Amino acid sequence: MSRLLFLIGKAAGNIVTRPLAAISSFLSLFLLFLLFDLVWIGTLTASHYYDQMIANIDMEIFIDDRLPDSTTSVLSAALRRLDGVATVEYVSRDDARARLYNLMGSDLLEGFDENPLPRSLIVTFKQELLNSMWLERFTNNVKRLQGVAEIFYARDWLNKAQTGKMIVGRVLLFLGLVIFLASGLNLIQTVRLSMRARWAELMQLNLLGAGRRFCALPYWLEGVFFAVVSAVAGWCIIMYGSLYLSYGDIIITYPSLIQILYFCLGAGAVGLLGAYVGSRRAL
Amino acid sequence: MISKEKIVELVAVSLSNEAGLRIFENLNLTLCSGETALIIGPTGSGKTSLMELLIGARKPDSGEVILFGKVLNLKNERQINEIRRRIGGVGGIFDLVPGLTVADNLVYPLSIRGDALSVQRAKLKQILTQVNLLSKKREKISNLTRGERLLVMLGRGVIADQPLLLIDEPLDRLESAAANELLGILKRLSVAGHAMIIFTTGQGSFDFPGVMAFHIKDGRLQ
Repeated sequence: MSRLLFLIGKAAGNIVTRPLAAISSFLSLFLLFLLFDLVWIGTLTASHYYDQMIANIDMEIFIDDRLPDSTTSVLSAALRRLDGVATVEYVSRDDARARLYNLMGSDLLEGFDENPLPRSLIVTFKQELLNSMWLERFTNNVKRLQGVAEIFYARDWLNKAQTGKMIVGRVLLFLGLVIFLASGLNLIQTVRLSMRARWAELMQLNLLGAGRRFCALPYWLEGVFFAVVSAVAGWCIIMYGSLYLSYGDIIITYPSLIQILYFCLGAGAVGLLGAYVGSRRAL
Repeated sequence: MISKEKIVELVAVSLSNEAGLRIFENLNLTLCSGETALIIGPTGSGKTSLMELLIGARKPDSGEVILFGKVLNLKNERQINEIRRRIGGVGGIFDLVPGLTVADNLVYPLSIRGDALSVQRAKLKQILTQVNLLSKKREKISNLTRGERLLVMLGRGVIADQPLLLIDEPLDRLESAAANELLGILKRLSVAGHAMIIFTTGQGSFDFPGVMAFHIKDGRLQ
């Protein structure tokens, strides 16, 4: 216990006795983590809008004219049994005509002897399965059902939205890796320089029988402290800013508290790793 | 009182410097608790190298360095650290940390050993009283005189009941009053059973009981 207190005291001493070095380390880590936080929030917001849009996707399955009305319920039931289907709604020729009327404001088919609009089934999906690849597979399965004439959904739009989401995700991953790498390198250098500045003291500790781990532990604590405090400070600034800033109709999506907690723990782990490597290089 | 035991044994130790020049040839020395070895030699005769051998900072070309009954194995970091915890160093490669206080410097050996804070406080008070530095407890090392620094190092060298003291040029550049005070403390430590190796360029006035004087000449102790 007393040894731990001694090491904590040493770590605190390291920070207090070199305030400028401590502030510069803190600020550089703070900026890196803040940048990561902003990219993360941007991705979550984009992802939220994508999910919201994809939730409205439905599929219209046009029924073959040769299929008698009496058997459309069989097709409808077959669709309902397929995985991922939430609802199936039958649209008769008359319903289709009424929808067209509502859409256009007048009956465009007034001169026709017979209603030429096809019958269809409108399928909505369970959201957790929705993506373009799944919909492609679903479409192939539906095509095999008897009585299906044509299938329509916003395939191109979905592909584009999905590609956009993937690109944003990859950018976050790349930036995240770069930022964490930069944080780690920053800490390696900070700890190495800090140990260099106290080289005489470390030498004496070693001569008095202190092991490498004992000598390095205050610097590991220093690394964890800088990383965690910088990460927490970044989120505090963002949360404080969110109280005063608004972006019109755009709803900003923030990570949950538990995600932020994991992020800060991750920053601490980066701090520990960076300090460990830094101390290994110095000793 | 520390019980009588073999503290240091140098058995046929030979050592060369980086250039391959022989520093020691077939060096032999045995020191038990309560005994003091005075190693006398001019600058460059190998006193610092001998000190480095004794704390496991250098490996002999041949022969064995045995401390507290254990043959020094430089590859065994844990063993070296354990042995170093039982050695008090004054001067030479041993120094104090100038930015810290007297108390901070003194408790290092106890902190490394993991002693409880209450034990550290009690020991600190006891040692500060012994070396007459109680009033300088919170003083920065950089504000002390050379004599006071030597006393702090001496205090650090015995605070954790280290059985062996390595002392390099203790009387160098000391005023007579400070030198007498230091000699008085060394005498008391010797009587208390501490083994001491004192490295010096001249015979000096180490005329307390149990002193064995050795001259380093041509890489041998005579």
